[in-house]
Amino acid sequence: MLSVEHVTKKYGSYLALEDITLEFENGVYGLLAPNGAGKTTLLNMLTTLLLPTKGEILWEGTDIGALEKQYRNILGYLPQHFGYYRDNTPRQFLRYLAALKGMDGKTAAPRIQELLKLVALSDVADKKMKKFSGGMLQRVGIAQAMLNDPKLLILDEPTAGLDPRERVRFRNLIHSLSQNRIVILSTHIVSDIETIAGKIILLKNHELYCCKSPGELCNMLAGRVFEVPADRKLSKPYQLLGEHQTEAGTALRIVCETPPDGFSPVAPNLEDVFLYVYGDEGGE
Amino acid sequence: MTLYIVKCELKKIASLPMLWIFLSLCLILNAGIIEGYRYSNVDESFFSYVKETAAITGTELGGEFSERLAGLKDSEEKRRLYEETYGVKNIYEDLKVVDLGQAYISVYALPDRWAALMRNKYQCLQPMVDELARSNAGFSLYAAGETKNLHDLLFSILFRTITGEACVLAALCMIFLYGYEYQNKTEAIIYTSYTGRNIQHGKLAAGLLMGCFSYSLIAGITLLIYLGVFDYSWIWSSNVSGIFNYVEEIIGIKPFLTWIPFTLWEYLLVMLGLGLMLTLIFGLIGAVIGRLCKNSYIGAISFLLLALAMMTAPYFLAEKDLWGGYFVSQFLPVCLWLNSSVWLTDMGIISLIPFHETIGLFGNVIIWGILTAVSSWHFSGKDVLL
Repeated sequence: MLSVEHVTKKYGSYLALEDITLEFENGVYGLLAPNGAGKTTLLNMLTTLLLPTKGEILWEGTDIGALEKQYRNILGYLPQHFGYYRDNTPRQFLRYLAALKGMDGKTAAPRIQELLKLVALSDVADKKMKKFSGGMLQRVGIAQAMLNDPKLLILDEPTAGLDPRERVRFRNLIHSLSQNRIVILSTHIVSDIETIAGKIILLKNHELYCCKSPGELCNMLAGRVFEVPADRKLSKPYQLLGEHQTEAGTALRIVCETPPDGFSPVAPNLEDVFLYVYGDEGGE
Repeated sequence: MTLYIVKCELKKIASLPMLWIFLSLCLILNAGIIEGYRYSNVDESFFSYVKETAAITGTELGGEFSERLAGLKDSEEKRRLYEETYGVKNIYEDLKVVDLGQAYISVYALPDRWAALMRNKYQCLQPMVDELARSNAGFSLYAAGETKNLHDLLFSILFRTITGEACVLAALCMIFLYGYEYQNKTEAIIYTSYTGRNIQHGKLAAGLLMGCFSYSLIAGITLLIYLGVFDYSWIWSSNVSGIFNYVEEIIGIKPFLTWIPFTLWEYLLVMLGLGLMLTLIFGLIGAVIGRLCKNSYIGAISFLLLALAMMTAPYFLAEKDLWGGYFVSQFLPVCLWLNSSVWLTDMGIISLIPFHETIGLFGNVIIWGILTAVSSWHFSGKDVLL
């Protein structure tokens, strides 16, 4: 189990995160927040790149700073900006990283072969990565994160820059990897996690807003989300979530404490919750 | 830290085209220096004549040498050799080196405190001078009148160039290696691996190995070229403190006085060993700078600025009559390199102690080794800001 106990992070006088307390067990956790909310800061602390200003992060009850190599040995990390050696092939690059993860050649070779097959890169295993597309590089990234079969897999914005087809492929891959390990996936794209995450963590104003299942989050807005025509004047206060085109014209999706006359609530989704928690103020 | 990781780190440097271009340019430059000096400064026909003659006359000057030389066929080279060697005296017999010390004290107007240390240094040298006198070291033929030219070419010019090239390469390779993960944006995946920030130990090992390799390659090939041009097979046993080897300075001409007697071969080997040590010191300097400056370009500029500061420090300190600072600054790595042509000698105004360069090199290894360890330890507990 991974525990985050009252963790605060400051950069000089700038407060990045304040008093975050969380517990993680096996399963997929989605870390959902807009850009600049502190997602990467939290993940960087979980991966030992940053040190908490206050509080502690525990793995199986022991501080991860004290565990050092032992903790990193169970960790797999795909950072937001995945760097690589351009003149390496995936096989060479993974072999090097396997050595850094404490794997000898005999253990690494079959593992690399297995992972390249898993991420559908076997055909290009010996081609230099400077010719790879963004999606292919991300797949190399997930392969390197999985080299040591980690108990804790952390993925920071793994689908950023991927086309829809690659995003779906990636989502399916993560789902298949989520058995018997903790997977923490940070994103600001709701669709990435609404179908695979067991728990969603929301950060707001540098603090923990909540940590709930997608169903529980959606229930927060149960009976309060409506779709109304854009030309309809509303007398009651509301928060605008967004607008979209229907056959009848432009429709507004709103959150309203009291139902607008003549309208029934629609089923809220995770995007509604995201926009509600982080969105702009509504009008009258 | 596995050997495989060190090998991969070495590969990172070795795959840099600029490394091999730089090495090639160094070797071309060194070959050019040898060729240029050979034509402009060395009388090769005389050197060849001395070599052939030494097989008959021997390599120790004196009555017997002159007699055998006189019996040889007349030529311009013979006349020159005869003039240079006839009636030579034992230059070390009545030499009181404390007078040299006094000359430095007068010329530089050293304050009493430093004058006393200077006198003490030359008092420590006197027993060595007496030993040179007893062993007739001054009568060593070496290369006769071409000794100064050849000794300067090999030890003042070439050795300093070789060591300078290797030192710069060692430092820059290390800076490059430490900044490699920043340049390639791989810091996050590297530092979160099992090895983590300890990767810097592998980088240090690889950088130092590359420094050793660069020095060995540059020195080895340059010396091969030099010895291919100038046949030294007959003079390796010459004493470097012979009458024909001397140092020209502000106080005048003085003998090439080493703290222990050296044959040319021994002197070359020890110099090469000390040069390698200096190269490793610059590798450690590169490690400290590389640890502090993530960006390799900023690291390289910082190194050049640091080297410039070290180079100019003694001049500024001497100008301001800050003699304590001046003498301490002569232990700086760049200053040790600048004065490499007089390593293992009294070193004149540069030093106040025997074996200045040896103590300086070992001291720098310790100091820069500690700084490397401290910067590494500091990095281990620091945020990695991506």
